[in-house]
Amino acid sequence: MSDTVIQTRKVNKVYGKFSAVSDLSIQVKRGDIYALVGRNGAGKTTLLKLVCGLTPPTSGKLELFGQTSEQQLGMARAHMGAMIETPGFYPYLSARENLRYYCIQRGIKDRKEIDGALEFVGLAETGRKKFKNFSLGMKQRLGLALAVMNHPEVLVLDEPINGLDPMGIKEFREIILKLNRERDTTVLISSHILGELSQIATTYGFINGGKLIQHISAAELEEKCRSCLRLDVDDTEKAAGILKEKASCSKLEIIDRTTLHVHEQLDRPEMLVKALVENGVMVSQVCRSGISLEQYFVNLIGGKEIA
Amino acid sequence: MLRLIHADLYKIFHRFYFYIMAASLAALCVLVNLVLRTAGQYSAASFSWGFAVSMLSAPVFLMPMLTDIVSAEEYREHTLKNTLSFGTNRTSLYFSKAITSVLLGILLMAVVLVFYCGSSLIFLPRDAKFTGDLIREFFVRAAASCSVYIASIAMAVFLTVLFRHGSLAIFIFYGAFYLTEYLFKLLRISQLNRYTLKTQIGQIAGQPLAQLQTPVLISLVTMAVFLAAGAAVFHRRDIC
Repeated sequence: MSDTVIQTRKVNKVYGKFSAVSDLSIQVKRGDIYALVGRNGAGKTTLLKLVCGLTPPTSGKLELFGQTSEQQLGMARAHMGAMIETPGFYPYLSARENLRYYCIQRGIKDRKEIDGALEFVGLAETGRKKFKNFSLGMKQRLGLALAVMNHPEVLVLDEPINGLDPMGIKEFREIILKLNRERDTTVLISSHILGELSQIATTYGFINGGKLIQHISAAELEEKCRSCLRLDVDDTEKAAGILKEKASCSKLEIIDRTTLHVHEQLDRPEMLVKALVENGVMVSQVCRSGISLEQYFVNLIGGKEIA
Repeated sequence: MLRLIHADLYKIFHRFYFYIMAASLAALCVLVNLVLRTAGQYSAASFSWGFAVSMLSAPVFLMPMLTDIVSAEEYREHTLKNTLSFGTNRTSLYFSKAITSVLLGILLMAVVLVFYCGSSLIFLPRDAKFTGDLIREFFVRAAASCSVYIASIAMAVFLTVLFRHGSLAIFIFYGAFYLTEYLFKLLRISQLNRYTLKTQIGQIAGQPLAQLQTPVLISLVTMAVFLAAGAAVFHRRDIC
């Protein structure tokens, strides 16, 4: 069995003159919780739509469970569950009736699947209440119920926690982790709530302008975010130059005119301070500091460049 | 594809819209015969059945409503993505929608025929002109007109896929059905009018029975063209 469940190779999606996805290659391995991180319009939803067959690529190759032909991709998608953008259901049907519709369509005869899915997302007690009368959170849950109903090997979720209250978000996180740990479900997820992603993701793909700008494991990212030396100095440009030259520091980040983050030599702050002071840079404070996923993302796409 | 059709029928039979549509048509059929009962010299079964033949073009009005509840609703409620992301073949999905619309049309036609013919036989006297030949002619013309109805459904499904907006598709459908002849006149290509669906239904209602093959054939070709064009558009369509 292939270790890679989703792979895109130089996939492009062009709308007129606008390139929504450009030469994008990602690889999602079995058992991963792969988080797609990017700004609005970065190309996350387009990529997920390509994976789910909702939009055909302009060029490039998509591989699901090792399959590439159109017919095989269709069959491979039967092993996937998806929730793309807002959940879409028939407003005049109840939660159970909506799921029954898709059970008929998918040839699922066991009605216990519906009960199981509704119970799994906490919608077992909605009775005859119509979808049109559901709250946004309930609609999201029903979308998730449909996605997990056929026990998918891969879940594709686009902004799944939009509209959920804090308790809902917590429950949702637990559901994803439970699916991943107990059923070995691979998850490809996008979200703007980076704090939430950081609690579940095992791999990150940072996307900007339709391009993958970084692919990194959670462990590597944690290492990068974990700590740095924060130096408050009178001239960051000059300090950066000195540290590169005198202290062999290549991983520097200029935060603003007086703040500098150093990602190397973390256990030798006195050596860095000495180098700076000896070369005429005033150091007013030195401390250890970590950055959040959000800060990392901001730095990566639009903040100061990591030297 | 059978599963897709089954699911669509499940959905449609779980809402009032279709039942209201069927009940309204049944009531209208009974009402027409009740009105004819009080219409003096026209109060006869033969006139009622002849009137029905002259109204064979009326059901075309209903076809976009059928495609609206089967196809356009999917765009409105953003439900197509649930079906396609499961790997459903787009061509199968497209044809299943067209077939479901046709099945609903057949069901509605059965309701209309039962209530119209039944009420005419109950409320109106069977005069000398009401013969077996007249009954046979009525059913032959009704059966032939099905080809136009099915072609209308194919056209309505195509427009729904093209515009992804139910109301706009319905509006353009009526325009295309009723105004194409004026457009052809304006463009000085009136000779093409003999190929429009409106002309075919007119011929099915008015031509001798022996000459119904041509309008039926033209309708079936129209249906095939719209089905093929719609499937091709749907195959590349972005779904949101």
